[in-house]
Amino acid sequence: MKIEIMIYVYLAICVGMILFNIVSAVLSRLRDKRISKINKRFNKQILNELRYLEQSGNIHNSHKIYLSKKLKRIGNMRSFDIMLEGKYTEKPVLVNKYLHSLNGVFVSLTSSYCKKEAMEAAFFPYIIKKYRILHGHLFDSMTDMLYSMLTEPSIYCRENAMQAIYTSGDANCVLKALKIVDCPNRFYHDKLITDGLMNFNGSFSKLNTALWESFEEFSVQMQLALLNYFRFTSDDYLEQMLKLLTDKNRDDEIRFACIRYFGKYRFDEAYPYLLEYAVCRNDARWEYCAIASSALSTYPCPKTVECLKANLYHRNWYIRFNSSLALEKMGLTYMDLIDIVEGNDRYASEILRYRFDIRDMIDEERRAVTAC
Amino acid sequence: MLEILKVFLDWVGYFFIAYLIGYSTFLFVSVVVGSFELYRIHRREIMKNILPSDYHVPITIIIPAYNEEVTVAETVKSLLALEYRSYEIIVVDDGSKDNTSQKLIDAFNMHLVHRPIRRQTECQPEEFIYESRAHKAPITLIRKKNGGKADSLNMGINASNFPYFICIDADSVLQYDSLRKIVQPILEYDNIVAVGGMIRISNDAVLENGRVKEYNMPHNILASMQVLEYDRSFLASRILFDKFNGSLIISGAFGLFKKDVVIAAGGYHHNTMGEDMELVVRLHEYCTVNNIPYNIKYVSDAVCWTQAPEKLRDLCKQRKRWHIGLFQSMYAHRGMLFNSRFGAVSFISYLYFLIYELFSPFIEIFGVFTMILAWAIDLLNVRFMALFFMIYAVFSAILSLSAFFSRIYTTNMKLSIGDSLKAVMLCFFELTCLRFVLAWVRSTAFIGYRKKRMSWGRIERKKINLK
Repeated sequence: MKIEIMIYVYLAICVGMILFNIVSAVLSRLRDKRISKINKRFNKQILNELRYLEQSGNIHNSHKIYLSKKLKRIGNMRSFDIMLEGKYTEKPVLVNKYLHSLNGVFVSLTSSYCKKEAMEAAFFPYIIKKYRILHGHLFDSMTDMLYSMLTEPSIYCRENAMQAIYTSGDANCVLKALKIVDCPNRFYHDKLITDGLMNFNGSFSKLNTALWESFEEFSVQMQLALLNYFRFTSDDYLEQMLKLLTDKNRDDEIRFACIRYFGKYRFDEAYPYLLEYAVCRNDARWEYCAIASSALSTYPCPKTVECLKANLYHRNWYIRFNSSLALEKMGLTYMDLIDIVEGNDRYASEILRYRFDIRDMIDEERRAVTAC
Repeated sequence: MLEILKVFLDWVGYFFIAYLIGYSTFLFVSVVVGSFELYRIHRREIMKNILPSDYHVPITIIIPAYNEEVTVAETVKSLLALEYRSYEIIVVDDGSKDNTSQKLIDAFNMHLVHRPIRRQTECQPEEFIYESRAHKAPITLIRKKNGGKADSLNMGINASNFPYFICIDADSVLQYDSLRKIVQPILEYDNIVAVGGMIRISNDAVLENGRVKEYNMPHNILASMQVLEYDRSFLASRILFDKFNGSLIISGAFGLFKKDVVIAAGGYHHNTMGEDMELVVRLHEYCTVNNIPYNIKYVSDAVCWTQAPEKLRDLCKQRKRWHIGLFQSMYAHRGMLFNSRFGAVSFISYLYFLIYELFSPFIEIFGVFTMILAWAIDLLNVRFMALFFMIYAVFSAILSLSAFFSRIYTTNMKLSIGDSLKAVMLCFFELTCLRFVLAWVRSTAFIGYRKKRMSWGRIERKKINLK
């Protein structure tokens, strides 16, 4: 009898699931219809207001009040975004002016989005970022909201807030945000920092100065992200990088990042250090040697060639691999390296032959493209 | 004698009630969790909770191929259309007897190179290597001595230049945004060692530049039933297990792995048919035993389209391989069972796979025979059994359909009324007929399996429907 009861319970679940599926489908249809209605309404409102703005240079206060009320709802904000996106492609200047006039509305919306759950709240910084609402105008309530979002567990919330902060173009604002994000308890991939900083919408020199000034306050992970960002953006920090590279108390990863920096930007003062690192006397420090070998391609000279040629005989794969790549990048020919290519060390010879194969292949492919 | 038989049948009855209620409960919980998760992901996209699309983690795509001349060039072409910036493609021809290598060389104007390969995982020696840099992503073709799929994957790992690799089947097509989606967990979580993607069936779907242009249920009934089965299995167990880092399978058709961890764990093992599952189980074991913090995630919106077998013979062959692979993986890592060190992986994932995947065909076949026996000696309560079976079928069908329609709805696909009805009808047929056929096939999988240990699973290939 008990078993029969259980079976009936499952039967009831079946019926419940069917009802749930039907109700969900119906609700979803109704919601789509409602959204389409709202979209139409917003479209009409925005069109009228843009027309009025074009003619008079202003927008109606009533429109601002209307939006302040309506945009509190996430669904309405989505419709607003969709409508504005369409108009933005047609008339970007006018839409920017329109958005500029709505700054007060967005400030007033901050408090209501603060109260929403993380997923919905993250939509607000997305809008701030997309329409660059913070650019040129720092609103305290808005930046405070963004800072508080940086402590949310949701990575999406934190990333949207960071993206919005980058668009502000304010170096101090970004610096403060980075300090909040730099928390050991919340994972934030260094790639998000490195690539994100490149979206900064203000003076990079001001930002970089601020970052260097506070460099020591950051964790190693964050420092690494910053150094990679510097490598991608500027050759102005050769001295600072050399100082870090020669500081033996620094984390290995930090010094690797400095070597990579000198691989991208030539700095003759760094050359003796690179050359020293490229000689692997201790197997435990093979990474220094491999990375420095790669960086040496930026410093072509007989000494470099001699060092890299010696590295081709090293038993570590990465040292051989990077040295051969550097020699190839420096434009050395088969004849320049014939002693190794035709030599007795099979590993050294093979890796160089491969480099020459690749060079020939790329040349041939280029010729084919030109011929076409 | 009759009394003993009666007691025996009573106990069998209790066992089956517990077994089916256990399964139904698991199915119910997992489909509910899965549906909510799909809805949450859908909502997350709507709310623009997304990481920027221009942040790229470099990836190597490895395609092991054996006699794939029909599809391999199309597969590589489709990979070159992916919306991603930083990746390389490595095709490993495992000593094919057809023109797999030549087709690729001709299609992409590849050049012979003398590339040394660092052997970090065990594999057969290479015969020749071709490369091309004239395309969006560098393409490498490595032709090697025949050694099986695991061996080919190991060769791909050895030749890869990037810290993460993805393995896909030569008959599969990645959706345009699949790489961007599958790397998201790397940016989102610390210590990612593997990420599984969603496999969908491409039979009769039309894809253009990795985008679905037309989606229909396959005309072939067998393929259609597999659509329902895949949805149930992916939506159900994989999303649920992902919640507690308990995924034991990442499909060989589409999965991302961290190269250095895979190499440290020993790469793909040659002596198994289910090298994909075995690797994932081994990664759990390796990381746990060595106290390495790790995460294995599943991304349901990173989609790979693959061909499902349309002939029963091919389907049976495929399922036999899968079942042997399952057995080998579970047996090789039997120490994980009821081992508190592995936590939920041991007590939920491993146990589920043991009872409801590995033993299930035997249990189901045993159940059918017991019913026949009980009926023969007039001990079967036919009314109760029919009711029980009917409710089980209706219940499972509803959950299958919930999984199917959740997927259709959350991926914004349009399905015709005809296809919807087809799904409803076929799901009953799948649960009441195909399931038992496949149970029989799986339970007899071990007959003669030693002979096929190193062989590739072959199903009839068709050209992929790409525009």
